[in-house]
This record gives sequence, structure tokens and C-alpha cells, in this order.
Amino acid sequence: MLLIVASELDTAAAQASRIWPEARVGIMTPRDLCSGGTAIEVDAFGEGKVVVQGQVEAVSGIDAAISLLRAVPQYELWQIDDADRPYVASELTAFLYYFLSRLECPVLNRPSAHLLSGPGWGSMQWVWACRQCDLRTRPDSLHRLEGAAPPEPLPRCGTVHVLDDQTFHEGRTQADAGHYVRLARRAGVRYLAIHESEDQFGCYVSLVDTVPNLADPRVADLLKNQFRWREHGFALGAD
Amino acid sequence: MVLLWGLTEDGPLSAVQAELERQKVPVAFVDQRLGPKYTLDFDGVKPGTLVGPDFSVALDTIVSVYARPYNFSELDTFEGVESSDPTWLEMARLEERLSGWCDVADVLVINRPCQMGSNSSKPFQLEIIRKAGFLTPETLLTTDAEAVRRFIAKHGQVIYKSISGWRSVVKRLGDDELATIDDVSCCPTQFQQYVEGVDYRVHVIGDEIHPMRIVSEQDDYRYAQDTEMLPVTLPAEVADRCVRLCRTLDLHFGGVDLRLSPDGGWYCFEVNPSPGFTYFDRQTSSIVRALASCLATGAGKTVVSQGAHCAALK
Repeated sequence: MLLIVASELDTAAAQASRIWPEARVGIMTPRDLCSGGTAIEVDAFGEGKVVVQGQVEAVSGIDAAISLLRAVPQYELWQIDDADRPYVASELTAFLYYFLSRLECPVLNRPSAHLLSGPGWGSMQWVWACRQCDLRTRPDSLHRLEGAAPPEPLPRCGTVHVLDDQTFHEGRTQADAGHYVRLARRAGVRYLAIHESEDQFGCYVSLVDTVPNLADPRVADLLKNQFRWREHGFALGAD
Repeated sequence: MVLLWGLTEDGPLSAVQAELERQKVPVAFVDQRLGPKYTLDFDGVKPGTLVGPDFSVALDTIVSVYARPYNFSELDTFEGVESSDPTWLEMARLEERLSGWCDVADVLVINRPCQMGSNSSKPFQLEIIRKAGFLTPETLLTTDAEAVRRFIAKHGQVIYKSISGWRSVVKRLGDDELATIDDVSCCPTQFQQYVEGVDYRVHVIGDEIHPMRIVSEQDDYRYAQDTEMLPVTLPAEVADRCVRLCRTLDLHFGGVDLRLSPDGGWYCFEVNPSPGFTYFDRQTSSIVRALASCLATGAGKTVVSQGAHCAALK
């Protein structure tokens, strides 16, 4: 099974079935995590069970996972009393941090304590990492390198999508593929989208995102080429 | 110059400040209660400056940082302030920049914010603890009441606690909890084999350890009235393991919770990345002195984390 961890409200998650029509795709939402049936003994992780789309599934049946969730949002816990939602959201996020870290199959992207789909770096760390990879940023764009939507629209000149050592460029960008692959490696992620804007000195990194947009056909192609379904699970890399 | 960040009334922070002043080490204190009255000018690469109401410091003159920031939005000074308010936004930006600088600065930071997250998921941290060579209690994460009953049948006495870093009182599962165990389906809960034994708290500062034996009748000594703490010496191998564990977690300062079982096994339950050590340091003050000494010199700085999340599990 290809496990997609996503919000119930994430309409792009359902695109996974179109990208990998041969694979069995299961979408795990916060609602599933608040349903009876999950049981994982940490000493026997592979023998555990989790709830996916309302069904109890064996952890050993998960062949690959894609995390589209940054954290479990309180507003999605409708069935939980208002007063308990902050606690439950925190518990579910902590559970997923552990679960996605322990899975032995390919996971895109592995979580951190601060983000369920990547390193959860603040803007300063991204700026620092960009500079280490010879990628230009601007001090005044520090607060915009958040992974989430920027506070105001940025005039973008290009985007690079990185998946392992594969890249896809759209528009104008400042450097060749190797710089962006290095940035993704430094951040410890398999997938990374790097958006660039332009000023009088040229292009600069203005936004990064570690969550793939499955609804974007170009991202879907990149994923499909690099993350290929085979009879007995997923194979990584090009043929 | 040592930078302190947090609240002046915070026990560990004020104890370190007093000790640094006693050692005549210059200190700059970023007091969160003052709100956004500080300016951090740093572009991610060049040395910048930090300016506050009573100081102006070139960042490259700071040798170390002791950071114990609280969630500023929960401070009384921000009560009733909307998150869209300019003051709130300015404070959020300052905190983000200061936290970011602490993550990348080439100085000793106790501890870097990016490296403080491992115990935000206790089972995640438990895996790292186990790989460091400590025994860990058998642990079940579940929303399945039947699985809990089987776990109890296997282990007899079982305790339960939060999975996240949310502070919870560790309790043994009793008849009252079992009567409502079906409610476990609402939220994954962590159950652990109860391990009998004597508690130890080991504060690790770099390569140095400060172990205490804890005498208490309660399952969670933090909430007991009768807790006693006695400085002890640990077996060298256990002491080494504590140091290595904190190093694996990239923590220059950590509070390691151990229990010695009657059959001589050393269990480790958790590592606190920002220990409130003053509770344990009342008798000897050895921890605050050691902490202040390493902050004063900046010795033992760690390399900046480079996407190390999850790496410790691999």
C-alpha cells in the first residue's frame, strides 16, 4: 500500500490514485488516528496495526508513504471536545512523528519534531543552508522562507522541484540542478520545491516547500518517474 | 559575553545569571516579558548586532547562549493581544530570528532550538535511547482497548502517559482507568510496562555528569512531597552511556531519567532537553556552577545541525 498522510480537507491527496493507478493507495487522516484499531508495540513495530481510511491495516503492508501533513490541526478534530483539542492534536502529531520516522519503507519526506514532512527549519536555517549551497537569498526575504504561503504575493521567476537526484525547473532560476540537490540533501529531505523571485541583481530563493503538491501535473510526473510502483512495492530511481 | 534568553523569574535562568555575575562574566539578558524591545540585525551570514533597552551587542562577541524561552503568547504581557496586532507580530518575528540565530550561530548554545525536539515524541526519543544501549520499558501506543488488556495481561502493572511533550503525570493503570478504557479509541495513548526500581536523575553537561539518586514513594517523583535527592557515583559504563546519549541528541545539557531495577538493569525513560535543574541542585549547586563555567568559556560548542532529523534512528 502507498500510504498518504493527509488532512481530510486536502483534495490533492486523492490525486495519488491517479498518479499510481496500479498501486493500492490509502489515505490516513487525523480522524483515522482518533479511531479504535491502532496498536503498535515499539519493540515489534513491524507487527503493528494502524487505521487507514477507517480500516485496520498492517504496518508491514505499507510499501511507501508520502506525508502531506505539516502537523495535525486542531480544527480537524471535530469529534473531540473543544477543551481537549490542543492536547489531542499534540498527541497525534507526536504519534505521527514517531510512526513516519520508524517506517522502513521509502517515506517522502521524513518528519522532524517541528514538521511532519521535513526538517521544520525556520527561515534563518534555510537562509544559512542556501548560502552553504551557493544559492542567493535576500535578508529582507527571511520571514518569507517559511514553507507556508508567504504573507504577500511574491513575483516569482522560477521554481525547481527536487526529488532525490532528479530535478524539474520551471521558469528562470539562479543556478544549475546540483545546487538545489545539495540543498535538499542538507535539509535531509527527498522532495523539495524551491521558488525564486528576481530583483535587480538576479534571482534569489524566496520560498521553499517540503510538501509536494500532488495536484500539480509536473510534480506528479516527477514523483511517478522516481517513485515507481512495481508488483511487490515501490522501486526508487529511474530505470 | 553570555546571552541569556527567557524570563527573569525562570529558576534555572536566574540561577545561571547569578552564578555568571558571581564569576564576573558579562551577561546580556533578553527578557521576553519586555516584549519586542530588542532588535536582532542578522542576515544569515555576516556578523550582526543585538540591541536591547539596556545593551547593544555585536553577535560575534557572544561566546555562548543559554536559552529557555517560553511561549510568549501565553505570557501575561500578551494577554488579550491578538495575533494580528503589530506588537504580537513584531514579537513573533523577533523570537523567530533569535531562535534562528541560535540554530546557526557558531557558538555554544544550550541548547539549540532545532535540537530540542526529540522529546516532543516520547516513543521517538525512546528509540534513540535504546540505540544508546539503555534498557527501555516495553511500550504500546494504541487506540485499541483490547490491545491494552492484552498488554496488561502480559506485564501485570502498567503505567500510562502522554506521547507528546505535553506535561502529564505518570500514573499506574488502576481499576478506575480500566473502567473507561474503551475511551482510549479517541486518542492514541502510550502504555508502558511498570519497571520497579530506584530513580536517578543524571544531568549531563558536555562530558561531565551530575547524578542524583531520588528517594520517593510516588510513581512520578516530580509531584511527590517527600522526595529526597542524594548525589551518587554511577558505574563508569552507565555514565558514559548518558554522555553518549546526550551527544547523539546534540544536547550539550540534558537531564537523563534513569531507573535501576532490582536485577541491576539500567532503564532510561526520557531525556529532558531543557531541564529545570534547580530542583535537583539545591544541596550542592554543582550543576549551576558547571553550567556557568562552560557558558563563560563557550567550550564544547556543537556543529550546526544539517538535516539530522531522523538520522539518529537510522
